[in-house]
Amino acid sequence: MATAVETMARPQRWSTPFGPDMTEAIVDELMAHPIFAGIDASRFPGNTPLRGILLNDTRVNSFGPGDIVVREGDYGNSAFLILDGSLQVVISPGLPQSVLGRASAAKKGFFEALSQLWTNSWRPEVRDPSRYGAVAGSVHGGSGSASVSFLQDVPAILDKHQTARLGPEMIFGELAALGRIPRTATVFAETDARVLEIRWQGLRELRRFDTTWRDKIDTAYRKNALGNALAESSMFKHLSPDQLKAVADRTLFETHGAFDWHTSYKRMLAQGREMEHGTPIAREGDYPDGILMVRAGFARVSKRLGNGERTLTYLGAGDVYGLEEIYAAWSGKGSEKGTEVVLETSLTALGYVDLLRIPRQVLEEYVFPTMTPPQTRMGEMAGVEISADALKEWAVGRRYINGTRAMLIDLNRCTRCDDCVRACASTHGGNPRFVRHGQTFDHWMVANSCMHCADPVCMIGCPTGAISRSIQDGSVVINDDTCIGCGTCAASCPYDNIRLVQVANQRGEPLVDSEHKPIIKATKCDYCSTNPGGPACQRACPHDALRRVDFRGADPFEGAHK
Amino acid sequence: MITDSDRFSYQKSSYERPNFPFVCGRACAFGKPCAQGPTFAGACGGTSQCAPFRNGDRWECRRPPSSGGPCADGPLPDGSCCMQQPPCKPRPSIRRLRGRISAVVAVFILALIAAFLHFEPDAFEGDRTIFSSVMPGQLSGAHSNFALADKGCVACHEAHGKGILAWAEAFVTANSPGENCVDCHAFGGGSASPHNMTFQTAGVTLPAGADVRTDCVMCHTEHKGQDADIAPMKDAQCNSCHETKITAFGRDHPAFGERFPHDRRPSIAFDHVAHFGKHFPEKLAAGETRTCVDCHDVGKAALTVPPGSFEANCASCHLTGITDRTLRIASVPFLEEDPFADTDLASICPPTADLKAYLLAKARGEDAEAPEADEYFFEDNGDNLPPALALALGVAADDPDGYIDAIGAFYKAIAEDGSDALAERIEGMPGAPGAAALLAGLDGELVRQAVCAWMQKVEYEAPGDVAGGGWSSDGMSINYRPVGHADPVARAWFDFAVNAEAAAKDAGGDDTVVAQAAALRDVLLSEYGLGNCTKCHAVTQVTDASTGDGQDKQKLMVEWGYQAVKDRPYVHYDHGPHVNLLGPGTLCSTCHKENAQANFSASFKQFDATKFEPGFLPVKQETCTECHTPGKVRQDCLLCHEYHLEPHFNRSMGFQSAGRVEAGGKEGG
Amino acid sequence: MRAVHRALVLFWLLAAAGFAIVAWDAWRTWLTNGEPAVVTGYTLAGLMVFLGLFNTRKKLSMIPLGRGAYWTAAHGIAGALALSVFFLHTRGTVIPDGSYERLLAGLFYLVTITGVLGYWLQRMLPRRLTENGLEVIWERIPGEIAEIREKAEAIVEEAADKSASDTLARYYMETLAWFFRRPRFPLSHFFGARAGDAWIRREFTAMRRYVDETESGYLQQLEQLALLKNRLDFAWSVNGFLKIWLLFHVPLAVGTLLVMIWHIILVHVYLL
Repeated sequence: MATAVETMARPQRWSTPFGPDMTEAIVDELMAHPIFAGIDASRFPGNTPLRGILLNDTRVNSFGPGDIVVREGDYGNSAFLILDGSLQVVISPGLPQSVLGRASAAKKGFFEALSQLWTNSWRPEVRDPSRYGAVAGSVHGGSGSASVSFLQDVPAILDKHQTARLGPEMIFGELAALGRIPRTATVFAETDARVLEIRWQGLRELRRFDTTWRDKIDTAYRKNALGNALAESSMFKHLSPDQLKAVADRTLFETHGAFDWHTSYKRMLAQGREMEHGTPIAREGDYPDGILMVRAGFARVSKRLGNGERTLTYLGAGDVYGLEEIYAAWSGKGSEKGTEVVLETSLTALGYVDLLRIPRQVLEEYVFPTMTPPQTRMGEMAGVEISADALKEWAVGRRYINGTRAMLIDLNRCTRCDDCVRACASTHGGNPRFVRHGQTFDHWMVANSCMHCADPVCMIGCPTGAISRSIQDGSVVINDDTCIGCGTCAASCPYDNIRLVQVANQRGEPLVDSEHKPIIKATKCDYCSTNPGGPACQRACPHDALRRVDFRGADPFEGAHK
Repeated sequence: MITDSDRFSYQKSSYERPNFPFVCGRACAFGKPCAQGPTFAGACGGTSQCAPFRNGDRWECRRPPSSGGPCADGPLPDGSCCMQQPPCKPRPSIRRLRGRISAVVAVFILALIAAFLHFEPDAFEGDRTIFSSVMPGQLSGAHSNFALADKGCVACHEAHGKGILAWAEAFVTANSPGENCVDCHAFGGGSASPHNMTFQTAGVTLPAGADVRTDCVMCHTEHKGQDADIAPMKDAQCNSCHETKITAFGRDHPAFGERFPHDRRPSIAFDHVAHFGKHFPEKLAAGETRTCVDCHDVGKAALTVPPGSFEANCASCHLTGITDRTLRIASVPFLEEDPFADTDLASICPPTADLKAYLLAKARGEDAEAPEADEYFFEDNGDNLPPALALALGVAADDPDGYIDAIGAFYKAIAEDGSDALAERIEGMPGAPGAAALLAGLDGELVRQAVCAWMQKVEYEAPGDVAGGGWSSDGMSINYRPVGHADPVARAWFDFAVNAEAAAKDAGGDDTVVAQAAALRDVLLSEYGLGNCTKCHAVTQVTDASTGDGQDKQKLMVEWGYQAVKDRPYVHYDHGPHVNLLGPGTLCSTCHKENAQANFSASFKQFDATKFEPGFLPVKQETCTECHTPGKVRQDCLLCHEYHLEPHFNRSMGFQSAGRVEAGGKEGG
Repeated sequence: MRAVHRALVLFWLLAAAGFAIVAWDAWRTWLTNGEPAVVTGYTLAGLMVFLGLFNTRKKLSMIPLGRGAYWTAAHGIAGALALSVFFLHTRGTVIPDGSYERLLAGLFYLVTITGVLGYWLQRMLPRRLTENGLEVIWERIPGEIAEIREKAEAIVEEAADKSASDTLARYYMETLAWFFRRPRFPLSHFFGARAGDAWIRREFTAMRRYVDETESGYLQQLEQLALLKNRLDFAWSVNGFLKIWLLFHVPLAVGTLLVMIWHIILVHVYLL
């Protein structure tokens, strides 16, 4: 048996550099660049030196005029530093999809999909080991030079769209990279330009170990976040650019919750105290000095009930907190006239939340005079029967609200036939990519299948960037070729939806490294992103019991809690 | 365990693989399954939990994380895993089991089919099996006794028992068992057309493109059991073709005709009204004649209740009316001159009685006076020629100048050659049958002697009156008197005479001949005609199909004998059950009521059978619907209507069954 | 209204229309003395093939062939339609005369009956499984039971150590070992009876009077395990019935299809 074992080198962090063309010479050049020259390299730990970061976590991309650097709506894991040349960021209106050259996901064709019928292995977790040997240049699914496309008529775009110029030494894209949110704007090259792309693992290290970078990132982060967020909000849409700028200047920027909130959450979950988890932002009964607008992440609106906090709703990107109370006070309606303004509900960060705080005075000056009065008050939602909210409390407590494509099974319909699991295996080389068990409440089960979270904490800590957002549809996918099986993502996932498997070669023999330690890969649902026809599990369910739902949607349970 | 809160974690729960064909044998025995699970081939994959690695001089555990990572105890000194267990015997998963059972069922079914082909070789290759497992059901009684027992399945199914090639051919080609029905069954028309009739014949025009080809198996479904009705035709099917849609007999059925049930007169001119009203009252009163059933044989009641024979019913009154009507074939013609004056009569005729006496006397030497011929014999005794003779000679019967030469030559020929000359002339009549029929029983010598006597101007002295009937002479003529009812000579003369005029015309005879033919017919049809046959027997104009030239030709026909009226070939009615139902005899009048106003007999004065006034009031539909109405008695189409035209059997079928009986007898012996 | 319910209504309408068309055609054919069994027969054969494709669809889940829920709806409705067309085809005959036709009809009825039974099971049992409140993958139940057994045995051993009495051990050996050995009372669970609960109550009540205070605690733990295991038994039985009914339906369907093909061959050779 020992003779037949096939061995290979164990993949390491940085064994797959971000850019294959990065050389020591380029690193030298970067180190001389003013933005890096000031960095105190001694503050970096020995296993991740500054030079190592530059060598392995960055790459230099060259763009010609009209080349797209990032597209609005793409999920990206890297930030960009302009080395030379100038770029344009399209502020509004956004470029049409066709101009962006956005292609649909590289789906399998019909016959290619059908061929899985006989090409799928009957042995578990079979891989072609030869793939792991030759790791090609741009295997990492970030937005990189591989996906560059070209804008045809730059002057016309500059004419029709509101744009802003980005010059050397400017950093952009850090918002998407660190906040794990889609790119907010399209950036394209105006002249020939060289741009340093830093994947977010590198960005994280730079921010952690260098104060100037931290300030730079935070400043840029704030500046970029505000402009777009306000412009997109229905509350500020009607304001003139000058007014908008005035609002933006006075708007505060804050984040709540830990970047890696999942670690503490999992701990609390294990103790059954998941409802206590979360960082308070505003408390019921406090005085509101302004409204809070969620830019990214989730926050829970709750009200005291008995001994606990009752979840009324949860807020996602674009939602506003505290508006009703302040508006009521301003408009001087009824009994509230003259009385002190008090928050009727509490707000708690669920995980990591980016917030904009817009001061009361700003609102009264620019917004309230022309605004239609808010129709409902969050506090009134407490009038609903307590039991009717049980499902919502469960979804919030379990943080399923994070899921954009959670696998929700109606157990009253599910005959436990496992057709979904077999369908999943049939589209993934014979291996299922989820387990048909999971937390249940009432007759609902959220199965242990990747939910493709709005805030994918699994991506935090991946040393190689193997886990990433698919550019095309935003599903969280794992690149099997670059995964080193460290298990960070599996451990990070608060929902137990990533599983480590020991892979085997085509003969079914386990793949091991030179020390005969098994080669492990992280696996999970990829939402059938390469298979035609969407998720096979949902399509296969014979009883309409299994659905992939977006918990951020209006009613993921489809009126189950009438 | 099921109650652990972290039971879903990636360390504790790895992928479940329901797509795999085997499950752990330990789990099947409700033991603890190992983490590895069975191999694809169905062998145990969990005898040891890792394959330890030799690192320098020590062994290191390499248990994968899915099984819990490196174990505490580490490998055994010999380098084997410390957690070894005997292999389990993996069991197929339920789905694989399902596949296996399906395969077993499939094999079982195929084996059944193969067994049919193997153990019933005759059915597949061979041809006379009478039982086969492929039979979809028992044949109806008659078919299982004849077709199946005689020829086996192949009687209807040609591919049966002929092997794979015949099967393959039969599979791809259209073949109908109905084609073989006509081996035994026959009809009054084509078997593949509706009602065995062509639509041209029926005078029906079909919409263009309508397929009117039929197949026996369209209606006749076999293999439905011994007692099954194999022709379950329903009214709706009739209605689908027939323009008159009948949903209920009492509602939609066309009203019965003015003269129902007959569209034409009967073959016998029996006037029920006259008989019951004029002729029978006394007998009825006297109890000698009772009712309808005296003449009609209720025992034979079917479509008709046939009357009894002439002898039984009519002879007592009508026989004499037959036997006292004679036919004159020859007589002394009226002549103003003697056409035989120049003829040496002595050389051809025997001497007359007077002459013979004179010659005898003379021979004895007695003095005798030579008999003197009566100079005015023909003028005194002669008469017009009888119509038959006039027609035979082709001369006018009342024109002595016209026929003198003909009759002279004819009588001379008879005197010389006997009755051959008569037979020759009779046969020479246009359209006449052989002399054997018309002159049957005629003694040639009688004719010759009579003619000779007349030529010698004496009355023929017949050798005495012939009792009963037949050919005889009264001295001045030769006559035929019917022997009784159904006299064949009389029938022959009538059959000939009714069409003689037309035959004469066809033969190109001159007006004289035609007139004589008409005269002969008129004489026969008159009440003085031979046997007075047409007093009762209808003479009817019919279509002569025998000419064969494709032209329909009308001819007259004497309807000899009682004929059931066949003018509704697709209707059947059975008096039998009705008679029994209503009580015999007296209650015939429930349906059949006499019509005293009808001039029944007038119809028989002419030849068109359809122009008649029945002696009975029409049978009304209401009469039937009293009982044949929803909720009471059947009223479907097939109760009274027959689908097929004249269904019968082929003669060959009789041979078949005879052969079978013979063969069976041999086997039995 | 869920999309599947809309599809269900549509399929029923289609099936009703399809049946009406076939029945009307059969009626017209019969009226004109034709053989309606040809059209009804091939319709039935087509339906049977379609019904069989449901299984194929499950094996081809990697390609988009429509949602499984639609197929299930169509399968059930096509089954009902097939039964209707079957009687149209046989003109109401329930038991045919010929031997192989009886086999065909018998198989068809069995497939239909198992299908209706399966439909009923699939409608009724999921709710009961949910109400059991113990959601567990069926294939893992043996392992869970083994674990419970191990735990029970450990408790008994510990009790024997702590109390220096073999009462519990003897009780376990005599009685409980049988219960923990494997799932018990499957039929009772399936029919919703409570034989398992009753058994546990009786045995543990009977035992309680013989144990001392120390053992009493262990006995209580054992009872908790037994009750837990009883719920697993329920899941094993009810979920198991959901799985094994197809063991009858599918092989019978295979047999029906094969005899049906033989039937078509014979009809063409002998009649058409």
